[in-house]
Amino acid sequence: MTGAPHRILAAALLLLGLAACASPVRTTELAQIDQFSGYRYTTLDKKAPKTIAKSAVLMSFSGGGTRAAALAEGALRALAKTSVPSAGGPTPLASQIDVISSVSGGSVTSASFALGGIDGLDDFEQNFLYSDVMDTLLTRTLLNPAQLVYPRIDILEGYLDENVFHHRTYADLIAADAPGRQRRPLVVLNATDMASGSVFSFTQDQFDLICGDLAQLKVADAVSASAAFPVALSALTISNRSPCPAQRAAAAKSGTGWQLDNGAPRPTRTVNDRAGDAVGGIKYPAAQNLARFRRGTTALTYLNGDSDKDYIQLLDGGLADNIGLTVPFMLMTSPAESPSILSWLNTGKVDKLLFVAVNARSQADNDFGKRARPPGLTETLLTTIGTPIDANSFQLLGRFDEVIDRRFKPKSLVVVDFDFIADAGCRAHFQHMATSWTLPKPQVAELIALGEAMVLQSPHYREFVTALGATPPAPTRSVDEICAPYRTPGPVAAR
Amino acid sequence: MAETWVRAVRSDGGGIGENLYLDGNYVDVAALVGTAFVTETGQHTFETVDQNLSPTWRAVATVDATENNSQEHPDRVVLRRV
Repeated sequence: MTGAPHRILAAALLLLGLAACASPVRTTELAQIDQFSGYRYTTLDKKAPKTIAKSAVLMSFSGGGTRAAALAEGALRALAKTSVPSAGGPTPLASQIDVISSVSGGSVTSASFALGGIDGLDDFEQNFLYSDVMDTLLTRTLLNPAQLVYPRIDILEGYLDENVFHHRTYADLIAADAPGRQRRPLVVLNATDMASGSVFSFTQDQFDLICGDLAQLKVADAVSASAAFPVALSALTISNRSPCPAQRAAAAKSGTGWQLDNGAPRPTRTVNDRAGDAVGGIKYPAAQNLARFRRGTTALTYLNGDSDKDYIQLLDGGLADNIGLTVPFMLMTSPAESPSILSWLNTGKVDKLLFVAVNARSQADNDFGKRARPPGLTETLLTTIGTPIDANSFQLLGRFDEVIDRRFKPKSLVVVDFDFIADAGCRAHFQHMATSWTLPKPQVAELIALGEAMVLQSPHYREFVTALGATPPAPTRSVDEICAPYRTPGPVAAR
Repeated sequence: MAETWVRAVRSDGGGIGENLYLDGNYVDVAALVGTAFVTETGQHTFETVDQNLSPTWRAVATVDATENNSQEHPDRVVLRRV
């Protein structure tokens, strides 16, 4: 961002919060609940079955604006560059990804990959990563002040819809004739539900709960919700049409995963998550795994039995989980998800797993450690927002690592994180890059190269690729080469 | 996440190796009848289904993480004919 007066004025107006008009209706009512159609893993897998043997491949992309989007792009480039043997002959590993779960800046990359596949990587870099997105957003706002009476999220949504996703919907992600792509992976864009503080994932499984047809939703809407940074942007509002005839019809039929519970249609999983014994006015959950009780409780709010949740307000997915690990963790530990990696293990469908977690966490440049006085209100507020999110994200990553370690050999968790750069000077260079929708072009190029190198140089990645019977390629530029201009003088051990 | 090993068997002793689904999710086979598998603790609905996805054998059971639970010593769930 630069300091041109018109941009500063426009930014100030943005922050004044002149949102007033009702949000446009973004979703349509679901006609039928069908586990074998809509934006679900099974639908995509049916159209493009995986061809590598007994392996699951998952990725997660964190938030962090263009810094996160570019780093994730680099990680995808690494998988695109890796050729592995498959039933149909050698194929890029990027064509075999099962699921990408993402938040905020990472969601722009994952959604673009879902639409354009490997062939679309170059276009995405030109149309988004190397573009001056902030300038365009602020200029558009200034030239069209009417934007200010709409919810501010529409400024971002309009830009992404026109320039990056070209008015595509989720139906385009499912369509058999979508050009230049291979249908997989299932890309799960995550936002945060302001009412519950829980992760809200854009999948048809989630939309079944709110009676929405995800296929009709614009991809730009979902990405904008996932990237709706609080205060600067307003929440994205979607309608909740539950309870609806489709849910009642599903509950009356076998094979739908729904049942009647005290006369109300409920997913069987939700009924089981919420099961418990009521003693003296307290309901003791049957699940020792209390996350299940919480999951069931949140699902109940979407079913809207009390008619107090007709709308869902969605903010940046990073608020609930800044590295997008919630969904992969569920897939790894719950047999009632789709796809359930736990069930694949139970039934012998897979014995190898590659999980690439891309975390573009920045390190705020502060001098807290050098001041005798406590930080001011703004610094305290920002720290209060950021610290718990990062702490929770890292705890989840630790638990995820443990689950993988217990079940898969070789261990195959690849973490792309600035913290893992050995040299302090280079580490600081990346950690201090701004969180913005525009970065200088050399920084974008460095982030893409770093993402690619950190995957391709990872011993866990190389071991996984070797286990598939392939030879891992060398990165375009190694981490050492990328870091050369920023290296701290002196021996490595001292950095 | 509390997890435990479970083995689901049919009350007539049959159906070994048959597909087993959990919690009404007929999209992914969760496990196999007669084979020990890992699942979350808490109440689950275990089912085998026919080709029309109608349940044929079912158990609604609460799975606890019991002492000494392991692949060799899984909790037992008995499916009854629907």
